[in-house]
Order: sequence, then structure tokens, then C-alpha cells
Amino acid sequence: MKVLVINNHGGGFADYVEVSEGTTVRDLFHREVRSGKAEDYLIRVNRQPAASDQVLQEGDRLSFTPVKIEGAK
Amino acid sequence: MTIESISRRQRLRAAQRIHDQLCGTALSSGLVDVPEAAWKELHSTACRLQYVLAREWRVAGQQLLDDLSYMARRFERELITFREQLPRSLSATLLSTPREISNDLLTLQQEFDEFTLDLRERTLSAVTGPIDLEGVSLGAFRIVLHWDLIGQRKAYEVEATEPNPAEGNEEVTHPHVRDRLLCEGEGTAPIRAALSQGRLLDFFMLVRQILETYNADSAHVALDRWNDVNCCNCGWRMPSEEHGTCERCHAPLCSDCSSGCQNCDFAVCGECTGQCAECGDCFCLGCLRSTDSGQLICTSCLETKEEQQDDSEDDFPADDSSAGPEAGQESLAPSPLAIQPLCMGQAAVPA
Repeated sequence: MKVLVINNHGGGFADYVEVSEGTTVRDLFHREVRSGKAEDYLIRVNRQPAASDQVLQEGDRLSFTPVKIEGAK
Repeated sequence: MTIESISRRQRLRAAQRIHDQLCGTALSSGLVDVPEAAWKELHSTACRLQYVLAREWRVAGQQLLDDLSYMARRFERELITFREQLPRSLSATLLSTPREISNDLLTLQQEFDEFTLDLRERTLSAVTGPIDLEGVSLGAFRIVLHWDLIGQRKAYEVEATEPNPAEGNEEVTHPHVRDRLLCEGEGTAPIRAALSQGRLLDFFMLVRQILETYNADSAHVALDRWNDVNCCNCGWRMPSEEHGTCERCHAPLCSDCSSGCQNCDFAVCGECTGQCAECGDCFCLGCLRSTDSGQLICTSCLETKEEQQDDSEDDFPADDSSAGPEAGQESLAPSPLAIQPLCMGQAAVPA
């Protein structure tokens, strides 16, 4: 099945990815944000905060937004 | 008008207009901007380094080598960002549909305490909660997005609702905000991507997270110097609780710029200091008098001059009391009209 993944870290990647049945939010987070810790991100499914063990459904929209984003001058 | 009072129909209308705007600006082309400027600068510096090395200019070469290292790191960063920004496939539909945009608008209402939508002005605005960074209260910020500017230039601004700007820098309301413009830093690429794809919820969240983060290494004004003040003479920033002030105009003054009046011992700034045209000593402007010719003169020298003038008049009593001073002789008669103390904010003006 396909879900939309939005990674607001780095380049702000957004695209549809293929996941297997039973994939959880945690699984996909570790797959997409390899070097990040889940607690450092605002993780949402279909725009709402999600539990890490939530099982993904076809067409879900996941977003990972860093809690800390450093501005500049 | 808050979104709570907006009907579903109005929200969909706004979403449709935003979608049309995004379609019209062909933003997807912006996603594949090669970091050409950084590459050109890197290449140019490398060429200059080769040139100076060929002539064995080692000092200039070292400076260029440092520059080259910095530019290589910058190019590397931009290239990584470029790669991360590339879509995985061209078949993916990146642009949000009007319904998705409408859902974003609905969620923004829940996400922010205050969210407004202005169809006429074509703006969306959201107010963050109060922001405290490193013990400094900066207040809440209103993020205003002009959707008709997306893809053209800076499409949004960040306004402090109850500003606590850096002391002496009214335009800096946040370490990363100057003149209502947020310097996005790490957030540059994701914000650009979110706007270009119509992901408005992501856009507002990204800006909020930047506002809630402090980067001490790259701030307009560092938070540990937020309440520092500028010396009125040299501009040096001093801790607010430690600096001195000019005893005449009360402007902040550093110890290096403070000078003592020879007469009253007041510590004064450069603006409140003058030099006596007679003795050359420095005095505060309260202890100087201005002559008709515009010269500043201290009270001591003034008294001496007056005594000398009185003695001169005693030696040569004038036949005609109505005759004025001889040509070239400075008039220093103790007339209140001839000599006036300088007041604060006044400058000596030639007669």
C-alpha cells in the first residue's frame, strides 16, 4: 500500500512511498529518518499527533517535523 | 474574521484560490534549482588560489585556502539540500489539492489559538503562543502568509504582537527576526517545499518551530546580550546593569567614552562636551558659554576676559558712552543677550 511521507527535516522531502501491511509509525520513521530520534520530531498522521505504534493505513499522510529548527541571521 | 466564523464554503473558496495561485506560479521548477552560485564562487576561488600559488604568494594563498574550505563546505551543504529536495519520482503529485489545502486550514484552527483568513487581502495569519528563549520573554508572534506572493518573493512576515526587541535594536524582535523577516536557516528548504506544494499546515508549523528554537551561533542579537545597551558615543554594547550614563543627557555611556568636566566634574558624553576656545580644556556644555562670535568659553576664562576688559575701560574711559567696541574687538560685555549658557540639545551657532 502507499502512504504520503513528508519529512520536514533537511530539504523538506514529500512523496508517496510503498509500505507493507502492518507497518507502524515507528517503523516508517526509522526507515525515513535514519539518524533522528522520534522524541525530537513532531510526528503526525493525517495532520493529527500519532502514537508510535499506530498501524498505517492505505493513503495515510505522515509528517515528521523537527521540534528544533535553527534559524540564522 | 476567524476561521471559526468562516463557513465551509468560504474555506473551500480560499483553498481553491490558493491552489490556483500555486498552479499559476509553476513552483515545481523551483524545486530543482541547482546551487549554481555557490559552485561558481567555489570555482572562482579555486582559480585565484592556483594563481597566487603559481607566484608563491603564500600569505594570500593561506587566506584563499581558508576561503576555499569554507565555500566547499557551503557548496556541500547546498548540494545535500538539493539532493534531499528532489522528488523520488516524477509521477508523484506534489501539489496539494484544494481539499487537502482546506483540511490544512481546518487543522490550523486547532493548532493555533488564533488563526485568521482574509479572502480580500489574500492572507492567512496564525499567532504562536508566548515564546521564551533562554529566560528572555519575547512574547507571541503573528505569522502572516500572503498567498498571492508564494513563489515570487518572501511571501510571509513575522510580527511580534507584544514586542520585546533587543535593546537599541527595535527592528530585532527575535534572535532570528529582523524587520519582520525570519532568517530561516535550517528551515529554508523545507519551508520553500511546503509553500510550493501548498502544505500550509507544515509551513506554519515549520515557522513556529524556528521561532521556538534559538541558534546562538547565528543570531541577529545574542540572547545573553539582549538587554545590553549601546554606548551613545562608540556603539559598544554593554550589560544593561553595568553601564554608566552621561550626567547631562542621560544617554548610555561606556567608560572609555566618558570624559569629566573640568569645572563640575560631571561625567559626560561627546555630544555634551566642548572645548574652551581660550584655555583648551574640556567642559560639559553647562559650564561653557557661547560668545557672539560662536566660540565656546569656560566660565573661568570668561571672568578673566571680563576683568581684562573692565581694566581696559578704566584706563581709557570712553568719551562717548554710546560708542561700540572697536573693530575686531570681541564683545564680551556681561549682557545676558551677548553670552548665553548652552542648553542640552543646542549647538553653538556662529553669530
